[in-house]
Amino acid sequence: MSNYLGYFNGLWKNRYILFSLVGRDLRSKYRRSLLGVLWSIITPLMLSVIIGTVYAVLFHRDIKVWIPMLFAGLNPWSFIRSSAEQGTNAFIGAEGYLKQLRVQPQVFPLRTVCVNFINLLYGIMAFYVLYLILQPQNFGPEMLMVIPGLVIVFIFSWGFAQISAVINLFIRDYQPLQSLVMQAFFYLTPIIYQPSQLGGKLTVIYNYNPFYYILNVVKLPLLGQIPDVWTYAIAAALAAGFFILGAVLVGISRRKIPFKL
Amino acid sequence: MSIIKMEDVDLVFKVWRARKLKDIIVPGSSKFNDYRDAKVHAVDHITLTVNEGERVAVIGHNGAGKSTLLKVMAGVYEPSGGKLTVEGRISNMFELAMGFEPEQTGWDNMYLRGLMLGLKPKEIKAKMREIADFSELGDFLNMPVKYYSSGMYVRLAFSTSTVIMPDILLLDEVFSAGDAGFIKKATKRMKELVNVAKILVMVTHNMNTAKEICNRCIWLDKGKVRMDGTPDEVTKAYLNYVRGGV
Repeated sequence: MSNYLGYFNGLWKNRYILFSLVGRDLRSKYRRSLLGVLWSIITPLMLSVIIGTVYAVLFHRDIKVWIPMLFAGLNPWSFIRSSAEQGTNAFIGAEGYLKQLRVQPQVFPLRTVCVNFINLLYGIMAFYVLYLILQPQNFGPEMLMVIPGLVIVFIFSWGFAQISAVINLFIRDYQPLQSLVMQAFFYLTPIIYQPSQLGGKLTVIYNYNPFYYILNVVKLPLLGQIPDVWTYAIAAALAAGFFILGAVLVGISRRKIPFKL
Repeated sequence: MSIIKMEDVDLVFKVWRARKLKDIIVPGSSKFNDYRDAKVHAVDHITLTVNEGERVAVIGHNGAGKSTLLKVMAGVYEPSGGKLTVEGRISNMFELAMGFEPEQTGWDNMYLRGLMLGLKPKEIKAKMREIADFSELGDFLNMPVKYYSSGMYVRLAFSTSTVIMPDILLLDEVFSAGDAGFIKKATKRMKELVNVAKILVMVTHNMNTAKEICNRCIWLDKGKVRMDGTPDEVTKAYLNYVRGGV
């Protein structure tokens, strides 16, 4: 028990370091760029427009429906993927701090997740602007349900980043492997297609896919729909499971981290 | 009350040989990398106490375990055995460009390092002017530190690490990069620090530095304390040994 208190105490003690690092990462990302932080909005927006248009033309779909649907799924997906991906480098990239200053290691995976979360918020802003233009009739109070959805997806990604950070510290082959698996899940999860397009036996693909539930608690409220209780229950359980596993892994390996860098 | 107390402290590094698929398929393909899984006994059952007012120089040849000893004292490496007690606020300065954000300015790095050394944002902000003055970096502080020379890193890191008035200061062979003027100033600063009853432990290869700044000297050899005494006698014995060995 005292170990788990120690985990959060350590984060609290190092909160200014965390804020400072996150602020730095955000500022340096678009350093020397003319449009600066606008890129955080433009990139996901244009990506959805491009993929959405291609699909709409290829499969004769309605652009007005397709682009928002894609965008609503891509937003949380990119957040999870980049948190996991950059999580693999969270400790390795912080070698200079971990090997000479007494800073709590759990700060670094959280740093990655916070930076990506702020980018996700920008992406959601871009989404709403686009959705307001394309389908204003779908706006409603249901959209407030995006807030609990974001909490769930944040905790899930935080856990994921910690798991990736610890495993990759001990087994460096993990990073390319994870990246391949995530690419596979990108196609296995209904993001660039709709679940209804998979009939019969293929429903297994999303029914047993953790990312399907995690994405839906953000994706559906973004589009103005409310996910069912079952989806929330599974997503919350997954988020809690990932977080606890991640925090325990960091707790177990914290003494070994400087030796492995 | 500040103290560093090591009782039978031990640290073993396990060095795993990086095994690659190629080594398995093509045996003997890596002829320059044929050492087995090795253990390095970097700190070998050391017992020593450093009390307030002591300025300790740690000398010895490369690979004797000097830097590791400092990192154990700093709490970076957890000892594999023995008991370590450290009381007091520690400030340390090890590898030079480590722990800096290269894209950030000198000011930003000063702030971040202050936080990492345990200061609150208010405390470090109040000290930034003083750190800047001591470092004499002037306008360079507005520049990203990736453009700094190694001497400038020393100035920034040393100024930040000492202005916060630590109880214990740990330095690892850092002065070689500073210019003569700064070394003089830093030497004075270190003597002042210890005048207010604090601890200094520094690794050095410069026997004159050891004699000038310190009042105790430890000679490390293969992770063990070979000699512990006044800087004069220990550096003399060490130099005799080095000459004899040649």
